[in-house]
Amino acid sequence: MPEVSEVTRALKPTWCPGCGNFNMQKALSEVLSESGMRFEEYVMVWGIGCHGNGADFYRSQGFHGLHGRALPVATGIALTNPQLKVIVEMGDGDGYGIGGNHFIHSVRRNVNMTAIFHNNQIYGLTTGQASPTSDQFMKTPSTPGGVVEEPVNPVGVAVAQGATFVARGFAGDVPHLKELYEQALAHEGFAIVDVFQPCVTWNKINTFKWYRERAYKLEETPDYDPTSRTKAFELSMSTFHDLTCAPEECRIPIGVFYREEKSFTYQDGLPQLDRPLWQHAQQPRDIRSILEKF
Amino acid sequence: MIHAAQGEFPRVVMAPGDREDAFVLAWKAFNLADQLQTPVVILGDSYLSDNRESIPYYDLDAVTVERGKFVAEGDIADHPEALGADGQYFRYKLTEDGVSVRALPGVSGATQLVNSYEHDEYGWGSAGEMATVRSAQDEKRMRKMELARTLVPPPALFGVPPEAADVSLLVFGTTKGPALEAIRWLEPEGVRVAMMQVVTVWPFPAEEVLSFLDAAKTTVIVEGNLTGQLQGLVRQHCLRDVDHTLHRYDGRPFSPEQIYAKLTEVIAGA
Ligand SMILES: Cc1ncc(C[n+]2csc(CCOP(=O)(O)OP(=O)(O)O)c2C)c(N)n1
Ligand code: SF4
Repeated sequence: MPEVSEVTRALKPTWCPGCGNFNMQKALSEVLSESGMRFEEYVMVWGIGCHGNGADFYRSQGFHGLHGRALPVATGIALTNPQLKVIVEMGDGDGYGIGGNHFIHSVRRNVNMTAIFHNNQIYGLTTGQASPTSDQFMKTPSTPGGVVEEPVNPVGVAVAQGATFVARGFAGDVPHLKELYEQALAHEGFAIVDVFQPCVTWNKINTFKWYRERAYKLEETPDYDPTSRTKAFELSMSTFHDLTCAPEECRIPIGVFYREEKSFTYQDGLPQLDRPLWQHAQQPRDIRSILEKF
Repeated sequence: MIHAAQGEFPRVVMAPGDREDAFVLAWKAFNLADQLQTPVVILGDSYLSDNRESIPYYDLDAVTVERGKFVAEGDIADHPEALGADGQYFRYKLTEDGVSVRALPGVSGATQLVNSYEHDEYGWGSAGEMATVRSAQDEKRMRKMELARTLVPPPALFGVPPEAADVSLLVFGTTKGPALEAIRWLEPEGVRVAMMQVVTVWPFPAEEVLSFLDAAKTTVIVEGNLTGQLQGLVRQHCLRDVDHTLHRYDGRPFSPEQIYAKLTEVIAGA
């Protein structure tokens, strides 16, 4: 089992002191270490943003590609070698904005992998512009008059599109986040964990304190039922609240919204995945019999 | 295709002239991409892809799979050439030919960071911000172009040798077909034509094109674009120009009649 100190790098991350990314890395590296997975058993893929700079702070088999394009790369890896566990880390701008199209189709495909979203409701790396999950009317350098449009509701979109595992975590609660990561990694299918990750430098509204005052755990609610899609969808509507809502006015659920134990994954639909794809491509295939038809 | 880039990087661009070229270049492109670990572009067009034609069997026995410096399974420790001094696998190890051993995820010991940011030999992006590392990686990547020159398909020659030709023709892509037809029509008239088809457009085969042009009496470029893209490459890399040009850029392929007429006109004027 690799130690936490082995799955991460002895390098001080360049994140701002106090950033939610630190706790997210703590949670994930502990889960990776405790899972006992060997380095050759998993691959990590990052988008571009502050979250993506995490690529430099883990030691793994990793891929740090283009902004918004982590999911297609990860899908490629997952479909090339079904024996690998694939873990994707994206931002809210990265995964729900420029990569939003991939998000929807990855949900549809139910590719067996885990997608973690560092949702700080802002573009961190590029200095604080509004992101697709910024609340309506939020003032940012790119929206001096306030964000005009409604935010993306990632949980709602995923649930509506047929996702088989949708959870939401909070970087201020590492033990809870670890539980979500563990369940996501154990899930057979596309597992989504959207994580509130306060950006202490650019988002002065959705701070640790803001979430702490509003977040509650679904698992602790009386009629909790993560097998009900309609219920999950209803809960996701908490995305739409007033920018300046008081804590008692906007209650924000965290935990597993929805899960489907037995689902048909994309990998299940591809019989050629009985072995890694490179094994198919070692010799030219004889296509004469196909040509003869013509 | 040749210049589009975010920063400079090596690449190969090949232009099939007909179906058989397309078949051969397609499998060669996959091999080259693995051998060079760099993008390889097949420059097709609608004339090639939207037409049907009966053709003899392709030579399937010629097809090979070349994966280059590639490790798909096992332990990376068994490949010392892939490791740095401390035994760490280096995805982007600085090598003489610019290509480093590529280990697939799943190979034991091959932790690595494949990175779209500039990076060091391991793949770390923060180290890639150092000026010396950046230059070394940039130079390493570009060394692949020298290797590419030794691997890519050379230009194809048709007709008589340029020394013996009344007129010598330079083309690329699907202009090949109508040009060969025009040459066939000129044969009974006693007109001897040499033709060079530039198959690999990039890296540009400057030496071959130069000796072709220097051996020719009268030279013509026939190309399906407005600005003279092939002619530009000839000027830039061979420091030569051709005597005549024929362009077509109305979205349709050349007809043999058009090329026949041009060559007839060139010969009449010569
Ligand atoms: C194709 C492309 N467009 C734009 C950018 C500039 N860019 C870099 S990071 C970023 C947004 C980052 O926001 P988010 O995904 O929320 O990540 P965070 O930095 O907050 O973790 C943008 C727009 C880019 N790198 N590539
Ligand atoms: S800018 Fe925000 S998200 Fe980025 S490292 Fe700083 S606090 Fe974290």
